[in-house]
Amino acid sequence: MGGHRTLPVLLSLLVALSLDVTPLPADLAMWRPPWLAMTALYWALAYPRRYGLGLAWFAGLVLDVLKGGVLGQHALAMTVATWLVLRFHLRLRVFPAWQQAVAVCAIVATHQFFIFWVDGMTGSAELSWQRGAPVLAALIAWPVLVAIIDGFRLRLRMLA
Amino acid sequence: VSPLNQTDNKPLFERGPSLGTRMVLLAMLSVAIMAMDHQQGHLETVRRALSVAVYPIRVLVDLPSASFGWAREQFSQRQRLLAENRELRIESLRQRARLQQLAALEAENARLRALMESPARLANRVQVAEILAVDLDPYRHRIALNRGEQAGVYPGQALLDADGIVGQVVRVNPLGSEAILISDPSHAMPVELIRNGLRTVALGMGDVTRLDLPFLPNSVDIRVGDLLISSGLGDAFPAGYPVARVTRVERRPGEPFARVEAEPTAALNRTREILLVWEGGEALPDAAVEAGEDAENGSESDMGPAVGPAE
Repeated sequence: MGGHRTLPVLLSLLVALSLDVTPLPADLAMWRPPWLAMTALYWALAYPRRYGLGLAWFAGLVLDVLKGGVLGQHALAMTVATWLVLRFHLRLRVFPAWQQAVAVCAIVATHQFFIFWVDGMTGSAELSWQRGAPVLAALIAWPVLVAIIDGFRLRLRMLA
Repeated sequence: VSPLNQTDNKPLFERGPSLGTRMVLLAMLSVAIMAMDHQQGHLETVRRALSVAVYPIRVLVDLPSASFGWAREQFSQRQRLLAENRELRIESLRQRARLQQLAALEAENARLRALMESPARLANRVQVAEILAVDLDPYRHRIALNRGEQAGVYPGQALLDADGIVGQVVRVNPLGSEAILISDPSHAMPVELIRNGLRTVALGMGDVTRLDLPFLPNSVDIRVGDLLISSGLGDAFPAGYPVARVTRVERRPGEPFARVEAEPTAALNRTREILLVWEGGEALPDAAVEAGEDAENGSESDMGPAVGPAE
């Protein structure tokens, strides 16, 4: 694991955090994929022994503070999603790209379900098709995210 | 993830608690945190500490739109600036003319109030704050502000823009604060019909262009176009600021209440600068609260009007 570095991982998480609150036009806002969760999933898949549940949980807590929501909401959702990735990471890794995207999509759906569940428990939440929009967005965003981070890793020689 | 690395696999024999156990422990911890945060607000210290760390991200995310505004000011054409300046000057003249009358009216109002021995109204002090261009939760109408504890902001403080009430502060951090808009589905505010003094409650509907007035009977005297102002009941908002204009009145004979909707007068999703209000014209929130109480008790009946627009 000589090529491993912490700084790029932290930077990528910071960028993902910013993307999660970047202003979008009102019509597009609901299509925002969960960038931070997907980035944490990527690193859990790439280094399952190093970046696991603890990092995902803490990143989720920071996102909760940033978004001003209920403390622990994203922490819970990201912990569960990362657990699913770690549980199946050997299989997920050898999937072809499209199959991996679909699998990640299913995991993001679980993530969104927990977000929605906590929303419902703590206040107002009504089930509408818009709740599924981030899941579909994740299907498209995952290959892009993988391509970008893989590219950076190749350039930084973070191979293993 | 591509086959970039194959060495950092899960070990065959794990040490420490298993993956499932750790997941369950962290999930339980999250649930405990949620319960404590949501029900009692016990975790303010944790949130405050993290919010200071997170504030730079908010500012960073706000940077593109802030610098866009700056650039537009810097590079806009002289002609346009001159035209804008002229318009503003005319506008200012018009406002000042109305203010002259207002001063006289305020004095008269104070005299009448003194005659009736009702408490004097105090002028409010305001300060401009900026809304950070940060998207918080799309299902909650919350905004992030660039003023916090260091500016004396306090929870429950009312927010205005040029046309009416915007919302109230819900959480104050050392550097910034978070506010809830009057259109948030969990927000309700006491209002009063300016035409006949009818009092009711306006609820948010999760739509920035609509408020719901669910508790009005069918026989009530209300029309499309009526202006609703804050009534000051509930002590959350200062009285007398415009809130919304009635857009729809549907009397339903079979139902106990009419369906009434109103459109907020403030530009809830379009403003960048808003005003924070301190009631009673005092600089410090504590002092403001005291002044407000004095006024309510009517302890000083000969109190002159604390006229004077906010600084």
